[in-house]
Amino acid sequence: MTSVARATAIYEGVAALAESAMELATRRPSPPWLQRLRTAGVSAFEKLGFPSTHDEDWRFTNLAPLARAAFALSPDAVSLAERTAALELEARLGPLGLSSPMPRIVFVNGRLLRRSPGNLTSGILFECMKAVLATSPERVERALVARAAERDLSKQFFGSLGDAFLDEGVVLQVPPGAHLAEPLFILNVSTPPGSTEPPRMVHTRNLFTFEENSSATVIEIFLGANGPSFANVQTDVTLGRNARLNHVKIQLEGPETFHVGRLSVAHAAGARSASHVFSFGGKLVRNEIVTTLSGEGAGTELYGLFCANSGQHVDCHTFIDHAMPRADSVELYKGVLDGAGRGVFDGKILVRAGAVRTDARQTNRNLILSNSALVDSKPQLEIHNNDVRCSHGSTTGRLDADAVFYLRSRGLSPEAARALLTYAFGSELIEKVASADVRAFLENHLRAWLPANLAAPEIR
Amino acid sequence: MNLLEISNLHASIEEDGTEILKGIDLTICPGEVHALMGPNGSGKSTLAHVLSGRPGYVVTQGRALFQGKDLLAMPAEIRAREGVFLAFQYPVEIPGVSNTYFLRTAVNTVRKHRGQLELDAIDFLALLDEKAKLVEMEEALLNRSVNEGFSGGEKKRNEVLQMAVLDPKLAILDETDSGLDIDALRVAASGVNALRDGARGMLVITHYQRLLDYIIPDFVHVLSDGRIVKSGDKNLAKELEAKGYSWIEKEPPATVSAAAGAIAS
Ligand SMILES: Nc1ncnc2c1ncn2[C@@H]1O[C@H](COP(=O)(O)OP(=O)(O)OP(=O)(O)O)[C@@H](O)[C@H]1O
Ligand SMILES: [Mg+2]
Repeated sequence: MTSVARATAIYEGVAALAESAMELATRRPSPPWLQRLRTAGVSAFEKLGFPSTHDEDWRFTNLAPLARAAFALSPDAVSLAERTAALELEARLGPLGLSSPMPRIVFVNGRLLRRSPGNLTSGILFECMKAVLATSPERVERALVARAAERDLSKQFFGSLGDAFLDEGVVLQVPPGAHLAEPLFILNVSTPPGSTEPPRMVHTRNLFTFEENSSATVIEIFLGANGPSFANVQTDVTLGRNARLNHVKIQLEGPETFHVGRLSVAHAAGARSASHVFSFGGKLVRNEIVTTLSGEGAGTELYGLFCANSGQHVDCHTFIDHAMPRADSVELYKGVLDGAGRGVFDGKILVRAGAVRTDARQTNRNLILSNSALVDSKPQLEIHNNDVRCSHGSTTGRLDADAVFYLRSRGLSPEAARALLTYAFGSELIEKVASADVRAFLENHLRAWLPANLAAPEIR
Repeated sequence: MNLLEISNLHASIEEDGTEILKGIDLTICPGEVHALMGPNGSGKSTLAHVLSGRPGYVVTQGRALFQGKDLLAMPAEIRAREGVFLAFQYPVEIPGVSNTYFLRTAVNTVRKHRGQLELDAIDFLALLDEKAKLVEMEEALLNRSVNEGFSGGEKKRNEVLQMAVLDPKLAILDETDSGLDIDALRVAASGVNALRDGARGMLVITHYQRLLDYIIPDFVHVLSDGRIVKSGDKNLAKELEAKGYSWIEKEPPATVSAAAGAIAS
């Protein structure tokens, strides 16, 4: 780490985090490798400090409010109040609610509330991290240690933080050739702390391993009531040859939430992944997707819809690493910004010298609904060979006045016209999700999100 | 009561104040079909836009009454709900909104305004099916996004379909014939004719006699430089086809409204 980076980092709050992590480490009796991983994480994030806006990767997102706030881990036991609040929120999930047949794991404030395996075939591990670490840590040791060692230590403050607080999350291991028809559902609920309790933080560590020719869909939902909270979600996925992952992340936390998430997917030859991110705000949200196409003929599709209103900042950061020949990637991110909402799209595609016959297409489109909303878009294409087909484009604009008039000329009020056009803009990404239940859920949510001055249209 | 009564209507482009309509007088009674012709840029579409409430224009003089009510005071959507329909010269593409959903929303908004019950999905689809047959619109186009990727002719047919479904009292058709091939023109025209019912008024903007062979107008008006310079019956259109506009532009633009009034009464 250079001294310049040191000088520009934010050290507020770091000492308290280190103390909290060390306390957790002493509370969990663990094998030596795990203790080493945690303490290495602590010293790394202590040294790094929170990235500041001088760091190119964080230019548009100021973490000072997060660094300044104080958060505490929840006590190990789930209280009755948390249980009740979580059930209430879960019941509001409509088609994805309690009656859904999907195998599911539910966390409340970072602790396991319930695990229902549904009719998962044997041989598939879909378990919470804490249980795996307690009963069979050897199943995750290699992957966790390897991923920590790969970390770009000059960069990954939140990754190191995740190592330091490594405790809970989901472990998914799909054996060779297994195809899971039903999506796996992971629900993360945050509930407001009691009046005497400090705001809560949750560090989630997910580890998904897909053996060759296997496939599964994973749906992660983050739900939250009001009240400040901090979620740091680190998900590492390894896809074997010709494996397929479909990942959907829906982020619906309360208006005072800080949410930082990173999904990193490594692809073997012929492996394919699709990531769908739906972010409806929180106070400060950062979603990073890092896909490494490290096998020939691998492919990835990255889709994102981010919506922000006043008091919300949503930052989407994607990196696609075309490391091998004949890989393809498609990316479409759309932002809808209203009020004084702020959005960021920072997407980079790197095509390495050996990655011939790369096919990469990246698009970012943003819709601005008010005068004070703002979005920063930074698409980047870095190509190191000539035998490629790459394109990228970014547009930011308002609703098309001609379209608004066209709808009004057929009797729709200006509000209904704007709502319909806004909905149509966002629904393109909902339509890309395979699960009808997830689509129905998202359609409802997008309608509910439409700003109060836009009457929610009845769709279909 | 007159369906539409326009008197001394002047309108300018909001942005730069250029006057486009320079005193229009036109009365349409229930059941009448009026054709509006005139050279490019004479203001035909501007008149259609001003009547339908498109933003970007300022009315500086005159008025337009629709069934005795001040049309120009109504917001665009109220005009539509009251029964004014504009078939656009250039229909707008609306990605992500299905034609069927859009039409159902529109028809129910209009019905609500008129104090009618909203149509449920089944009744609406029955209505849509009936009207789609009228303009020979394939089902695939109904399920696609509004006008997105439609051919020029398909867009125009979609306008006629919307008109049929929304059942307006006054339809303004702005060059609905342009871009149509010969068969499509016949289909669209017969769709329009099916909507002639003795009550509905129509203002048909066109450049070509060809359309008026199918939709036979009660009156023909010629707009030139923002004024109606000549009015007559269907034979006027035939004369124009033969002689061109220069023939009219040479004539003194006298007693235009009187002429139109004389024919109308
Ligand atoms: N928004 C606008 N800004 C500037 N000029 C405009 C605008 N709308 C119309 N005009 C001008 O007003 C005049 C009349 O245009 P309009 O579209 O009404 O003509 P038109 O009679 O419909 O012609 P066409 O037969 O070509 O359709 C034209 O000179 C046109 O350029
Ligand atoms: Mg025109």
